[in-house]
Amino acid sequence: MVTEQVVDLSRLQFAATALYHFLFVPLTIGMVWLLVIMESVYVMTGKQLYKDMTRFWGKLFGINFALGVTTGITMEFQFGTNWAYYSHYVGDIFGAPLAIEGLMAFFLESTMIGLFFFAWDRLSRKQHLLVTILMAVGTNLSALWILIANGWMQNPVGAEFSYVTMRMEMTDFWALLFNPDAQAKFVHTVSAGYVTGAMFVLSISSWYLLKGRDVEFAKRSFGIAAAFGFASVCSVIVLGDESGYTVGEAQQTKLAAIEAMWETEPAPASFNLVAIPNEAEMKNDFAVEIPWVMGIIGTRSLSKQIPGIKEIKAKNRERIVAGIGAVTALEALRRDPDDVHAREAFERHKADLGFGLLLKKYTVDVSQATPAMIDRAVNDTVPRVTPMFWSFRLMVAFGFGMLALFSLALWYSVKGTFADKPWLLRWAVYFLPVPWLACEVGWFVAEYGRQPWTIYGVLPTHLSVSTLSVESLYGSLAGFVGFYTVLLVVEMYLMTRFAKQGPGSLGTGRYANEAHA
Amino acid sequence: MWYFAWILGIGFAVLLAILNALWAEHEESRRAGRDSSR
Amino acid sequence: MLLDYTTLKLIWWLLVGVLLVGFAIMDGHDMGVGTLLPFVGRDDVERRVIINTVGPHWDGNQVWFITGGGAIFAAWPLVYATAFSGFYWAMLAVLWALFFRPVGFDYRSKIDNPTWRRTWDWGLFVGGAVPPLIFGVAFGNLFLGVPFSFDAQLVSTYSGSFWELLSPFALLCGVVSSAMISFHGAIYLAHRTQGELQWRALRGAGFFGGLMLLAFAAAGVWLWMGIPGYVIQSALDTAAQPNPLAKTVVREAGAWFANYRHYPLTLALPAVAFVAVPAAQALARSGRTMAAFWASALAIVGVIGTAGAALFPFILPSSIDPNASLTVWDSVSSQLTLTIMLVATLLFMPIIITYTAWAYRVMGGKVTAAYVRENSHSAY
Repeated sequence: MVTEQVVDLSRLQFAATALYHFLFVPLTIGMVWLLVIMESVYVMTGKQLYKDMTRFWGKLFGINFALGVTTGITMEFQFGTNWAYYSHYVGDIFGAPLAIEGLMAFFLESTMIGLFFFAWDRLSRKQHLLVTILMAVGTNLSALWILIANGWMQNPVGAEFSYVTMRMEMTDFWALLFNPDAQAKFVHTVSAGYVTGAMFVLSISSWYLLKGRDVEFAKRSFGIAAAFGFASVCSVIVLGDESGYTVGEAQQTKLAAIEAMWETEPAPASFNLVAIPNEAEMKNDFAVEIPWVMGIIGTRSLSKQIPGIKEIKAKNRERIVAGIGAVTALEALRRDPDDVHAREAFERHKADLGFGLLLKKYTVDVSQATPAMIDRAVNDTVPRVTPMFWSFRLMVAFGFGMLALFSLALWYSVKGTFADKPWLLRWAVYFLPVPWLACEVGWFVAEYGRQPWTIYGVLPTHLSVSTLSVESLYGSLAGFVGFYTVLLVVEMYLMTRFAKQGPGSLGTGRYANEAHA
Repeated sequence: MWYFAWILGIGFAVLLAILNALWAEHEESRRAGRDSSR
Repeated sequence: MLLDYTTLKLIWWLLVGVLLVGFAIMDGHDMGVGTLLPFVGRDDVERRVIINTVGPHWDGNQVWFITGGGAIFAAWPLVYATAFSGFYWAMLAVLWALFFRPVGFDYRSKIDNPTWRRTWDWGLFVGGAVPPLIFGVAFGNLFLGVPFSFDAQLVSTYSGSFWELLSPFALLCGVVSSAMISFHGAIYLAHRTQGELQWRALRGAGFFGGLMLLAFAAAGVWLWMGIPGYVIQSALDTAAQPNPLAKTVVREAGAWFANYRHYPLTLALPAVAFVAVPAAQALARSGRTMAAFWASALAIVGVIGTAGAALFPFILPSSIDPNASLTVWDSVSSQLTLTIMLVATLLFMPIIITYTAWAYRVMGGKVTAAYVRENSHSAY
């Protein structure tokens, strides 16, 4: 029996395992390019220092990668274990990118990473660089396919419901592949990973410089991280804006919640810089507005309107009422596929099937839904505004903070004077956790903002879960969190240990804190 | 076509970082040359 | 479209089989090595030698498992949904056991402390031994039938528990699977090591090969004597839109052998297993360890093929509502998705095999104690 508790626990488990996974993924995605850069400079200049850089940062990369793999295994199977109905209902579309991800990306990155670590003496310089580049390409392609799958959850294009098989079926693979939501989300997400990798190298190098240790090694690492990070942080911000724009087309609801826009304003709408949203009365108790900005970001025009939450809810009410017809007709068709009237009614309302299913949270027999149930379902269609509003602003603030840091870091790196600017180095050290915070908050905005749907407008979250017992879910949730936490502690221990030891851990005899044995 | 932009963008970012490293090497050797000629 | 629906459904049954066999051959050998690790390696250097025989490869090999999961999701979404949610705790046990591998391999030798290293050695043992055991038990349960049912909207409900999976027959299948993977790992270890270690690996191959065939034969006899199979009774439209509720299925004694009666050629599969295991043992003892590895791989093809041929067309039979059993005809994706996935597989599989072979060639040769000592800061 699926209760609300089962749904909540399943969501919590998915959120926890995904957020843990994304502690490691962005660093992998970004660091791998920094390794490509360092090794390229090594191949171009032949300077041993750059090879040592590649190997030392590669060592830290490897420690992180191990947990990325560990937590990633869960993600591939959790749809089946905990989201069985989801897997059945959309597997025809959603499964394909996951399988292609394995074939095209995981094999490549995982095979090459073995050679990256172990084949330094068995390959020529250029061959080894090629291995590193292929590892980077594989890593980034894996992000591509999972974000195509995720983009489809936000904007389900190229698919159609079939009442015979009782599921969504793919009609256009290219639409899935070139989904604008997927494209913007992919570039935004990998760029966030690049920033994370750059910040990691920048912070730790700055720490060495502040300590006056391994200065030549740290200076060069800093310069590379500053340049790569600057380009990446620009990309994150531009693509974040692009995500806002595509969200404006496919998911106006998310945008309205992020902006705490209760009313539809005349175009171009103003932007709430800060506000205190009041959910109960559907208004903002206090707001600092900047005229025009929202309309321009959301529509790229001065004349198009952005619907406010009240208008969105009114539209959704119509769709829910129409959806009742779709659900009722579908249930009749499942009993008797030859029922002509039911088929006709289903064809008429099928665009609103997902909205009708929202009522299943309140009643088994949707045709008996009371106006009070419909009211509650309508209210469900917009996520809670306050967490969306503030987490989005937090993410943006982090983004601009990093833009400022990387701009200055690149500027003083080009001038060659960053090493005598302790304020800059300290800033970089303190900012180490910032890209992770930004990533996690960003995912919260993206996925919490999709509620109450798993597939927007198609499948409500509360129908997507497996029929598991509450005890099983408490057990597995505790197991995952416990296991991951222990592994995270071990990882952090190794990471800090080797970061503190520095390039001396390579045992080459050229650095401070040389490893013995 | 953001996929295409990504391909160009990552190439640009990698190149920028490589150039910054080569530039630093160049400056370093110039400074070293000036120091030794003095 | 390129191929008709019936053909595609058949091809995908074969392809999922290929992926499972690929997983067992590739990830299987490093899991077998993990299982043998605490027993074959007596001191730290020996254990590092053993770990480094698979060090550069285990991660790529593990992708067979991940891709297998993805392919089942894409090709048989109902199987992915029903089996993994039904076998909830078994699946979690596999995942949690696998957690020990990436960290075990990568973190073990980074700290020079005997307790730390011993702990990860046992972690690698768990990561190598538990998944094959559970997969074997799961396969055994396919023959017995799994207690799940669907409602009209195809919401699946599983009404068993984890402990019910552990019936004697299923456990016997677990022994087949565990012994097979340990055997395969031992043969691989013999290929990549020398001296004392190699000798111990060969002894392991002798023992586990024998155990594997014994358990395999016993499972076959048991299946023949005591486990009724499943038969589709209603008329079958293999090209129909998949709907697992549209057929009638009955249980019948001896039905798991029906395919062998109708297509006697399939008997070659168990025969291959019985020939390939002693062949692999003999080849390994005579020093032709590479050929031995492929003979052992062939034995895996034989064992998994035997099970698959017996089950066909069933994938996941239901013990409480046999009509709802999932088959290759009615639990598959749409024709378009199967086509796209086929194209993707045909495109990428040769590329994957090429660079995997290259990686093994680059890292080839015997792993020795000297290698581990010289590379003490970079090797696992």
